[in-house]
Amino acid sequence: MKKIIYFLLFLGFVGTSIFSISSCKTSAAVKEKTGAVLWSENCSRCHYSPDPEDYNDAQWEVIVMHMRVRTGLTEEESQKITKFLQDSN
Amino acid sequence: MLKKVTYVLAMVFPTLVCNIAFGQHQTHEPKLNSEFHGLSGVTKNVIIGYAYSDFIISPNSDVKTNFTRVGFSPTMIWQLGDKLFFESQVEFYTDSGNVNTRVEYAKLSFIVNKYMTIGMGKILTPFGLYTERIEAPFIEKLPNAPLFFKHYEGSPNIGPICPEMGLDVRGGFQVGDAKMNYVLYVSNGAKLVDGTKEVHLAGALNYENFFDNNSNKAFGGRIGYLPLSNSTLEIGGSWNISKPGDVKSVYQNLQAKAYSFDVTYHKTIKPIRSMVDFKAQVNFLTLDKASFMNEAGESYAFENKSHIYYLRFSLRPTQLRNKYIRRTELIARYNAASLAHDALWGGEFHRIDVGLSYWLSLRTGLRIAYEKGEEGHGVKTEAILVRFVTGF
Repeated sequence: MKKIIYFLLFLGFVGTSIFSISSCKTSAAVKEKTGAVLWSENCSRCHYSPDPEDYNDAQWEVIVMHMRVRTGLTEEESQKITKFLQDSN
Repeated sequence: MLKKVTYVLAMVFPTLVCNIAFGQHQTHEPKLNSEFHGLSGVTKNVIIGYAYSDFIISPNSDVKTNFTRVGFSPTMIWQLGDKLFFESQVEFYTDSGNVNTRVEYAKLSFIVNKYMTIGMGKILTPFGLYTERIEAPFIEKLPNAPLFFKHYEGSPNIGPICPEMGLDVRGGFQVGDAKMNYVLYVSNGAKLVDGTKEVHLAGALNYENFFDNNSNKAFGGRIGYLPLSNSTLEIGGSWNISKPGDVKSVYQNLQAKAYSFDVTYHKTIKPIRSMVDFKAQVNFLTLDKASFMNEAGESYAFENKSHIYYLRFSLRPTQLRNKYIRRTELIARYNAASLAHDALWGGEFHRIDVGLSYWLSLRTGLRIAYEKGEEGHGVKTEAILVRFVTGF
């Protein structure tokens, strides 16, 4: 029974992944997301976001690079988030 | 050994080729005409981290109240160019009166292209979400860790729940409106406790195997999928395959297989003016059957299958007018473990944690929790935990 559940879970995961990959076109709404929106959506997945004023431009660049690698942010997301934080501090 | 290396190469090589080929097409042109582009430049660095202090009330213990632990953990990150950076977290803490220092992780990472980063060193094993993303005390909303999800000396590891020495390849990419992230890694893998020194732990695994006990390397990974465009939901699957026995021992061909599934969901729900956060993870571990010796010198064997899981839910009324209520977060977590029944360390465990976190700022919180549970052989546990923590 357990094996069937695992298999179905895996199948569901693969199925939804294939469905998504096959419809790979990113909508305009997602492409046009601002750095502020991405910062809010992604950081709060794990923790509350610090104030942009807590760090300077160079420090934000390093911190976002660290978070990009740790959490699998895309390059576009990390660039927009870095710019937003640097513009807001 | 050869078989495992073949598996590793079969997974890593196509990933590398695809990433490099596809990534080069997408990567921006270098700004400078230098063969060392991305590897040198102005060095930037930052120190982030956290500090915490714990207090515990144990009604069933002889010592009812105790200031148990204080810790300070700076993470130093050096960016050595556009593509190269080093990060290391050092932990200083006092526990039972002793001062302890350890390197939690230390890794040199190179961003190959927009889809792939390679890192090597002491890595936070990406097995589920807890160890890599949730465990840090300023992120974990309760003052304690889920049952068996944190490594303690003398406790079995159900899957790689602690840092390992190894190499990882990772990245994230958009898939339509959804996103995916992946990590593949090779590490020293687990070490089997054969019971020679710790008889009561015979058959358990310890993933803190910093100087490998054999030539077999563990191979693992995690795939994360965020199906919603606002990144509120992430589901992930992880695996780790290793041979944990000492080289040239009778256990050297035993294989350990660990799997994990995790889910996280967070969203601000306007009708209740609150942010809700749900996290869950389950780890499964199976080790081939083997015989060990008990304290009386008698041989015994057992089915070495275990699993652990937790479910955590929290609610914070972030959109109410009253600032004191707005800063308060209510948290509940159910933890359970089913450890190899016939092992000396086996049995059924469960615990309920209910708590409150009062956020003095976005990164500083006072956390209070009540935990009640039952350990392996009917031993009941009960405590009130207090933690004052800040991230910086």
